[in-house]
Amino acid sequence: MEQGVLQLELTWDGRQIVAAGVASTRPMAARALRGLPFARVLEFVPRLFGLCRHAQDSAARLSLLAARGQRSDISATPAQTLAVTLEAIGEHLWRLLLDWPQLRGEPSRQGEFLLWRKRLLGVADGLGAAAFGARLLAWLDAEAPPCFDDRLRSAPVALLPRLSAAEWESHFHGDHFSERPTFAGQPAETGALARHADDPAVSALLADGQRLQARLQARYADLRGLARGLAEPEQWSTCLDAAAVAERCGLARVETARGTLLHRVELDGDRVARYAIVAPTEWNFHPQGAFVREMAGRPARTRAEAALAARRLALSLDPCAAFAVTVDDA
Amino acid sequence: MCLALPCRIVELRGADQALIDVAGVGKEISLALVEDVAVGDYVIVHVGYALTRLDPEGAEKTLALFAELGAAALQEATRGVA
Repeated sequence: MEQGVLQLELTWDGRQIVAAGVASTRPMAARALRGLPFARVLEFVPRLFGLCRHAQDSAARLSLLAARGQRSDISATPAQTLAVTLEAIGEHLWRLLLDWPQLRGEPSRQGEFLLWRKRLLGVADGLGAAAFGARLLAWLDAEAPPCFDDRLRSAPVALLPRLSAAEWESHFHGDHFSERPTFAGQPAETGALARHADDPAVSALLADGQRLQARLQARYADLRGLARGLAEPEQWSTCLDAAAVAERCGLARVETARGTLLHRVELDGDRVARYAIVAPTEWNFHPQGAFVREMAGRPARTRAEAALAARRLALSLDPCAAFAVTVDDA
Repeated sequence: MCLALPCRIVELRGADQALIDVAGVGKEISLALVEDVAVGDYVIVHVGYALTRLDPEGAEKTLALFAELGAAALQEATRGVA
């Protein structure tokens, strides 16, 4: 099984990007879980995923717990909440300290990232988490998102609302929901922007049409919220939940750095009859989603400028896999 | 979602770089995020960085789990991907 990549395909007419498309060679791994005993799924999932391992593991455990109907109260443990929170912080820091400086041609901040990663991996308990959170908040006070002069040229997709696991059940429909999810029949954006659109600085940027900048601002708001949550875990307790949504069927929702992650499992006895995973990348890189919508109509004087605009927008939408950009003539 | 496929280090290069084997294809990656990696070790890779070093037993177990999915399951998994 290969990891796969997102192919971001632009059509350029010498003045602007006239169209964009997304093709994915990433395998839909959840389908391969069909037929496995649930105990094997629990063994398999944390080994199957790399970057979002804790979020995927927690979603699998909670959805299976709900499907088996052994407990009426299905809530994440403090250890799960802490692991998911630290993982999200690590992924935000990766983007901010490794990817954005590289994209902007700025000096590497790899050394800073290594330091934060070491601190993050050293968090052993609630006390350590609170100290880490306080340190991160102090650091964030002196940080600001990179600035881009970038304005929307077309109507953006809607922002995905925050729903509980139980509420998600009625939105799961069609055979291709996992690969091409829609909300109320339309593509939608998930991630930090959807979570923090009400933040005053973020909403001001949105109102001004600076959606990419708003996304970056929202990422800082998310990081601050996560850091505060380490000191006061009840603030972040809404990041994971699960529900039994039908007989032998469980659904779990986890808020990750990239957005909402959903696992839905149907059991037949002790085996998996159906397993669906809806990852944030499938929302943001939907064939009619945020990336495609926002690329179309962007001015670009050169091929390189078109490709750079695509890389910038893609990074702001934070795919969980490697991506490659191609530019074709119109 | 990113898959955590164990990749074997086949050559150490200078400046925290290494060559890995991905299904028979060589690829250069950064070792900046992991320590004490040797040729023959397995690592989990994400966008050009080794994320974690796996102990040999863990790597073999993960590879066996991936293999367990089987060709039929993988064909189904890759069918219909947009």
